[in-house]
Amino acid sequence: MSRFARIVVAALASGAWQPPLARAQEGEYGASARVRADLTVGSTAIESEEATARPGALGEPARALLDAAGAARTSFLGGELVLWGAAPSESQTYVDGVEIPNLFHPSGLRTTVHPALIESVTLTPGALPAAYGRSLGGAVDVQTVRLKPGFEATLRSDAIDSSLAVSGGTRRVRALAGVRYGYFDRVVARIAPDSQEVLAVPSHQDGVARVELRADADTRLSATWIGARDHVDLQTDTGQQTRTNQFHVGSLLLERRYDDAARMRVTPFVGIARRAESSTFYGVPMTLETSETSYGLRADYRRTENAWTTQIGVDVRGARQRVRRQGTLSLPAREGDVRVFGQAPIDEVDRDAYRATTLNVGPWASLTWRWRALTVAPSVRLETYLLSVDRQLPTLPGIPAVGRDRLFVEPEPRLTVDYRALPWLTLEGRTGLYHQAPLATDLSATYGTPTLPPARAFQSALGARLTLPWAIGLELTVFEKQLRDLAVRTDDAPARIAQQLEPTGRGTARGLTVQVRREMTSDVFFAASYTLSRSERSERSDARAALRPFDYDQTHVMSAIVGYTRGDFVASVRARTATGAPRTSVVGRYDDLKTGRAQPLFGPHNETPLPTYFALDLHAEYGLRVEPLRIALFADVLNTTDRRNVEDFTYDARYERRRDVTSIPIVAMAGLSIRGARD
Amino acid sequence: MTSRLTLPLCALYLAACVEGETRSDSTIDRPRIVAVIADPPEASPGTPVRFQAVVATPTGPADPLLTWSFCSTVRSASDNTAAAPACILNAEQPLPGEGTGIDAVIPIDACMRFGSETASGRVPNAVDATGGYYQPLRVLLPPYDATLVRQRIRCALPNAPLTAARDYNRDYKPNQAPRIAAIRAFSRNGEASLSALPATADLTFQIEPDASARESYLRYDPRAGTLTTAVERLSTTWYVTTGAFEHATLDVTSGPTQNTWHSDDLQTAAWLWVVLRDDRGGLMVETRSLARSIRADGLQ
Repeated sequence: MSRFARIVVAALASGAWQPPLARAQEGEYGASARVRADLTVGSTAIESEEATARPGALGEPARALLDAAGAARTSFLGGELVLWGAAPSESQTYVDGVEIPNLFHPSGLRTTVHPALIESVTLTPGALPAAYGRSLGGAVDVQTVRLKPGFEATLRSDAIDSSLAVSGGTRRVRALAGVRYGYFDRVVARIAPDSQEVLAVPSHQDGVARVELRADADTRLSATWIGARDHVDLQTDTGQQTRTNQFHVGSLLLERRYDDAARMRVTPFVGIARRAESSTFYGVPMTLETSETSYGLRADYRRTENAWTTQIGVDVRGARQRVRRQGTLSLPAREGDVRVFGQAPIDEVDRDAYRATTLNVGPWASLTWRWRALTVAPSVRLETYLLSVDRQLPTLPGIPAVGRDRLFVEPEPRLTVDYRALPWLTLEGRTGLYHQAPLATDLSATYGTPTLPPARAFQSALGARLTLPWAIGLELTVFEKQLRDLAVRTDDAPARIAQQLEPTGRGTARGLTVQVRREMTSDVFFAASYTLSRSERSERSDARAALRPFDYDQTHVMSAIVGYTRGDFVASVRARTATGAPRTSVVGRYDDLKTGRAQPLFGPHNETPLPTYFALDLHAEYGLRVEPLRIALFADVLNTTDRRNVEDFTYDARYERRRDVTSIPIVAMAGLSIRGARD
Repeated sequence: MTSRLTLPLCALYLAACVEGETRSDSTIDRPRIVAVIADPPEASPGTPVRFQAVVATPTGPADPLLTWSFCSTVRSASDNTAAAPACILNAEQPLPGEGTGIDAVIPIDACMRFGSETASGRVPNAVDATGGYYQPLRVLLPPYDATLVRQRIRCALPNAPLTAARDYNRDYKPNQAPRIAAIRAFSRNGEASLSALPATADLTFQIEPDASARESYLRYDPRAGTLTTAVERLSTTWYVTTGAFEHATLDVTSGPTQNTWHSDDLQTAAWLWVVLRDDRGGLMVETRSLARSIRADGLQ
């Protein structure tokens, strides 16, 4: 038996995981994940055209995913994904299988991927198939368009931004280019100049370009570039903050189908990303800059023969990051920090500059066996991490830096089972083991710990999908996730050298999701989702240590959308409600005479939930045909009931009175898009 | 008076606003320790220091009983406030004396607990922006909130090259408390006497630090192992028994800065405390009685 096989067998025999019912089509990332029936249980996929007709989406296909079952609600402009109790940094975003740093611009109003490139978006909140790795949470996969011959141009403009996309080509060579320029920050400054003290609206720009070659009907080669940038400045009475993010990712996709039902796909990619954040609040500075150069390759081969489908693949991603950090020890805040919104940072400061390299090689294999109504698909991913830092101890004068390389080989067995019990009922389930490397910013010898190991998770999901009359689909999913070895701040004081973080965090997430949906193909469409969940974490690895609510824990999250289409007119309404996320109350205070400011004394960690959120949003769209143009006028009303939803708590300067930080009032927006096409 | 709370709230990009108004921190509506003057402001472990508390009450200065205790618990990375909660909640190292002024000796292990001389294998405590370490001290005025004093202590430079340590020991000048040269009040008609202020709701105050208040000092960079010369930053905190100041705290590093006192009570005399701080932990306080004249123009 080969060493690889022995590892697989050892992992399967270890009993570290249990094989419940599950089913998933392995390797369904990218352009091939188009068939809804192939979706794994608990996943949500939305076509671009349908998504943009949804209230609250604001023309962004991926914003519609924020309503998906299993996704917690984040702040109005947050744009973060909290999936099945995973922190935003624990989930990944892919474009045709290529990882990008973030799905949304920081405003959350726009995705970093130009809509012209998006055909559909799929959200899988957890228990991902073996083609995916490097994360403890879920994934959003953006499936891109297949370019068509002819010529097409689309101009879109509203209060947030304007965009232009042009595509066209011949039967063999096709191309697309799109750019978008945001000006929402200036619109807000113009219509509400006083809001600059309390509103931090980022500016954003993004663009895409693609060239696609079709050698024959079975072979496709494309080259794609995606770039995005955003920037925000904030000035308040207490300080200022500046943030800039930008990234560029270039990829090639070679896809070939063979006569014997086989398919091969290879996707190499390179990318650069830069994040820079600096702030000075209450006179305490903070700077964090990361520059990343990344590269990687995805490749897979699938072959189907009778009842058997075999898939093998490899998922490689390397990243070299340069990190420079200085200033307060308490910012940026981490999940689990006991703090309140607007609190002054700790006035103890330090600094560090280092390089971290993470190389992940994840070969994987999957075998799918079909027998009558039963499909069983065991798979394994051999998650291999090479983690390097060029400095394992804090900088000291006269002491040369000594780096450290560490290798982790983590077999990740996964199993999916699918049983079509009745023509209208399918039972599905999946389970697996997952690992995620520590963030480069956690590997600081001064602010973090260079020797953090990968965190791990064991995830399971069991679900039923029902097809009901009138084209109504119903899906129920229960899930559980166990997280271990999470990086948390140390309680040691003073801390051990180069160990400000320790891998002792653990967490659990359990829940039930329900999705009901009627397709948009009929005059009336609707979609509803409900998530009941409990997500908890602890800073102690000891199983007897009490768990506290996860920072983003929301017991109930519910969303319902009803729409009506007639000809070129679309109108829809969305209602959304969610339990408030937990916060830590201030139960006392003391005066710090060094700064002249009051300091809080906290009560039990995350025991006070924010008030329940509710919002009603409207969308209407009307299309005109002025050949060869198609003009669409659209309008959105957000928070139609003008409800003052509480996004966070803050306190007065003496921490005596709690104040509500409220979300947007009623907001109305309108815009138009013009599309012209010629064969 | 109330002041609008802006905070760094929307650093999280919330399209948010803070509802309502909040009371200013400058109003003395209960007995409160507004300053503890340490003499000397910077001391080595094992050396004596005189601590003098300044207590403000709604009726003016007071001399109540206080309880004093040094802290021994070090703030951990997971404690997100200026001191470990245990230090505030417990009298960890009680000090003798119950008055507003006490004499104490800085704990001999202060640099081992709160400074650079931590146990082997432990990281030296982090410094503040001025390169300083501080021994926390809790002062309690029952039944009111605790007060934290951070006494600057002089510790060995962590991992310093020999030349830097030698130069630092030779050239470093311990911190001195800043001094206030003058406090002035202005109305629309010009400068007014603090004992005969015009009976108007809004008056402008200005503090002038003494020319020597802003000291330059040597700052050690523990990462580079080098010494640089820095200049202190100065700030003021304002307290008053009636009404409130527009800004509870103001940066006065670049010179005199004006602050507006708003009070609808034009009859009652008031008390004013102005605390001048340097960012090395030194402070000085001035207490003044404010009296109103009958006419808005300041004439009797």
